[in-house]
Amino acid sequence: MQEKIKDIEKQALAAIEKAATAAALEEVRVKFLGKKSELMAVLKSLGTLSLEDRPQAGSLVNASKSIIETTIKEKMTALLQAEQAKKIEAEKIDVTLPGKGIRRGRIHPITQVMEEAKSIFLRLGYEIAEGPDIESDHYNFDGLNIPPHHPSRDMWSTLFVSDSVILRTHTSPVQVRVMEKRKPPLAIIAPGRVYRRDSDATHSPVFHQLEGFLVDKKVTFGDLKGTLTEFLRQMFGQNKKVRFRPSFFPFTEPSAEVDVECVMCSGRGCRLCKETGWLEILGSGMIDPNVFKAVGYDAEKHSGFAFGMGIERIAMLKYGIDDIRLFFENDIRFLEQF
Amino acid sequence: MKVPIEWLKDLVDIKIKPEQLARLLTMGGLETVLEADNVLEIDIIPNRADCWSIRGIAREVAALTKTKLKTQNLKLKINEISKNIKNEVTVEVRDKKLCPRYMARAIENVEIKNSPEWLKKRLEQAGLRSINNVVDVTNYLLLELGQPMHAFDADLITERKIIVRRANAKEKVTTLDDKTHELDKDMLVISDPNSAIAVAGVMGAGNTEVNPKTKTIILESAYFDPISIHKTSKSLKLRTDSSIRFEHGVDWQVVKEAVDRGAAMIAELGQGTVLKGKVDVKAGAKKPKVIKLRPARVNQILGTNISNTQMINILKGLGFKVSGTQVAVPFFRAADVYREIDLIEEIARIYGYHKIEATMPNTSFPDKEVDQQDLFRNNLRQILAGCGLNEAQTYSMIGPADFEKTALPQDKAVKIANPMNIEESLMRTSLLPGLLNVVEHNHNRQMENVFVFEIGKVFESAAQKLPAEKWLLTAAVTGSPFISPIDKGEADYFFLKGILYNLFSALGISNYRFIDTTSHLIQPGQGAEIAGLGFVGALHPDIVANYKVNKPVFFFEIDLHELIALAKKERRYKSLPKYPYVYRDIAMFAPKGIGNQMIISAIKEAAGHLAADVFLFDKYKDSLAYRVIYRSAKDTLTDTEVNSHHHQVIAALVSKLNVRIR
Repeated sequence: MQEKIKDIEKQALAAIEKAATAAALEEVRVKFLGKKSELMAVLKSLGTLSLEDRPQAGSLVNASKSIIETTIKEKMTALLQAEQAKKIEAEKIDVTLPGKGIRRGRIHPITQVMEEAKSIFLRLGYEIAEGPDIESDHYNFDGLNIPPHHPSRDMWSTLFVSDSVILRTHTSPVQVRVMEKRKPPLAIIAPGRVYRRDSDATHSPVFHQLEGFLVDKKVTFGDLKGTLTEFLRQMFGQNKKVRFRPSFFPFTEPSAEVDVECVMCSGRGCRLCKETGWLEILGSGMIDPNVFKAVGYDAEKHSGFAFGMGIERIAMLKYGIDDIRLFFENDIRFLEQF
Repeated sequence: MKVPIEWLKDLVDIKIKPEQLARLLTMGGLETVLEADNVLEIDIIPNRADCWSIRGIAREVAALTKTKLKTQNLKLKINEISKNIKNEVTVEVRDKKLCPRYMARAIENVEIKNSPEWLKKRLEQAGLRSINNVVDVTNYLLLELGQPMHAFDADLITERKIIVRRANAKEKVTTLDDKTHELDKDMLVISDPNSAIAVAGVMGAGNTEVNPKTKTIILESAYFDPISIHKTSKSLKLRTDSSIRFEHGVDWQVVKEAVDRGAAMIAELGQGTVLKGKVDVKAGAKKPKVIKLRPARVNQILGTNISNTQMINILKGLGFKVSGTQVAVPFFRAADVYREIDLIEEIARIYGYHKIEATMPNTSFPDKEVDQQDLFRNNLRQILAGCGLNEAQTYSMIGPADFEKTALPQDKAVKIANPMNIEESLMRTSLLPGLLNVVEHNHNRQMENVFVFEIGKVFESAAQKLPAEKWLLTAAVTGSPFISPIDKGEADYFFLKGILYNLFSALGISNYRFIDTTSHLIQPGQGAEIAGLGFVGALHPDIVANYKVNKPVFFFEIDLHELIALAKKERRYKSLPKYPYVYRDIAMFAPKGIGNQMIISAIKEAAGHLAADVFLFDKYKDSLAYRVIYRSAKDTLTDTEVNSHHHQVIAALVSKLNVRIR
């Protein structure tokens, strides 16, 4: 009996040793530990033994069973690990291959700059208003204190549809349109396309402006300075210097040109800023009483400031673009840089 | 305008360096760049008529540096002989509105020759060419005083009679530059009894030009109506140093000063003699404008605490006369200072913008109107970029060729009367031509995968004065949308439809329909009308053939106004399903003409409220497999319940659509 048990154990251990896969090992387990296995048969036959012999034989069977079980378990773990390792090895990929999916699109750089500028004023409490691109000369000129045949009309080279209908040369007509309809207090920005009869590396017949104005009681030139300084610092960097210079616009009085410290040389003077250290960014001023008068506002009761900026110019300065025409060519290699 | 600093120093003491001077003028409102030879290049802003002269600039320098203008060298002695101009020359001004003041002096026995070196050099530094000692004097004084003058050869003027009149219709005149102009009745001419001898204020005529044989000079100095000069100069396309100054308005008083100095200088440089007296025909006397200035108002507008004394000193420094609160405007500022606000600007300018403290407005906005349109467009851009489309910005103007290539009707296009070129002469009525040019531009540069969209306005002539404007969203795609060419597949109708699906779902739009279209833009059978919104499909090959693009192009164009109208403004939460779903699949062959949408509608209709979802889940050639998701909100469905519904579905498909169940 003892020999037989030992023999089964020996056979089992040899079979385990031989099993090369988890499935083969499972067959070995069934063969040597299953209900129909020799060892089970031996266990069942214990009843035929004398009462004294039974415990010894029983413990012999159990000891062999336990050895076989443990060995199978260990072997099984090893085999599974090996198989997993093999699978992992087989599934290895070149992680430097390109990713799947479609290329993302880009928002046009002009839109990006426009949105950035708009968002600064929206945070300051301004609201957005719009007007037509094809405008009457009344809104584009007369209402803005630019009378017919006045030399100041020549500040803009205008594209005409008819004698009195033009492509707006600036977004300022929106000022007049809004003030005609609504009463102060008002804080408005007007983004949009404007048109000039002009084309070279820095002038485009179509470009974008962001116009803004604020009207209330007791608005001062100091408020204009504060607002635009805040805007320019958010747009160009908190440490940038800003300066205000007297200038002329028919629809503002006093008028100011606003410069920001050159983005390239930080004010030391370079090609970009024509050695001045400054970049001209904004036109602005206190809204001219004649503009108020034309919309029926009382210039004694209300005052306000207005400003306007060219978005392409800001984008060119921000990104270091030297030809405005690139914005409208829409070369994919250009668009994908933003 | 070019201003030699040496010349400026004749008129004002300058103790600062040229660079500082340029900066000071810039910060005072005249953009100034220092050029070689200590010449300032000054950009004169349109309202500053007074700055079109060296003296005007000198006045600015004096105000900014708080010094006074030198006056001593402006007085020249006139050696008048006994012969009186009144007996030699007659002047008749027929239109005193267009010519409120006309002055003349005469100089006899003038020798026409080269100017002395100092005069030549000054003119050259200021950017003018020396001509002869007479013309140079007029140019010299034009630059120094801002008063244009014209010298005539008196012996070439018939009867020595000068008539200031409007031109006759179609009257011709040949100007000094040898060009012949046709005039009209709104233009002012200087004439003799026979013919025009100058286009007033713009340019003299060749017939009375000063020449080497000239002996007697009639020197004209006048004030011409600025608007009239502006119109004439514009319509003749003749912009001269003279017309620039007249159209801004010259100094009423300097008209006289200039003619006196001019006569004296011509006499001196040509060894001639000035005739006694002068002609001065004027519409009336001009008085300086007086403006009331409220110092409190100044500080209220500027947000400053400038003292009354400071204000008065600033204004006096600029040549204004102040008595109490009354400010008299000097003639040389009559064109741009006529209101209190104009004085406020002068005070702010000289006080220094940099000294005004920056503050934030103390304002609140009770009835703000939030513009949804702009926000909406921005949202769309984000969604479309996420879907793989690049935003493009193309010109709002296109050309007839763009219309022809896309066969879009031109009749309602708004025309530009003065286009820069034919390619930018019509306002676009669709964004498609612009985007197709973008596709072509990129193809020409070896970029064959082009995925672009534009959100922009289109324009159409309308019954009312201003054309109709409308926002469109248009996309044009061609080539592979994938990051890597390893991934196969190119853009097609379904690629764009997938984008539209995402777009509509992002906007909460579910009630959209794709229906048959006969749009000429679309290849028949490869596109659809998006009911009420626009079109999507393969661009018709006949149109693609008009572009240098060798791949099919797909596009959609959507009316933004309609899209916004459909977009859901608010969202409400729907509770999540509590019970599991049960599904059944149907595989079938559908007869020709029975489309996906018809099958889904038929299934939904037959399945009733238990059909939570129906979708095509497999497609192989003509064989279609649909999955119907059944779910109840009340309990878990049993097979019996589902089967009874599903039998109805199959029966309906067979009877209504004549499909063959596999």
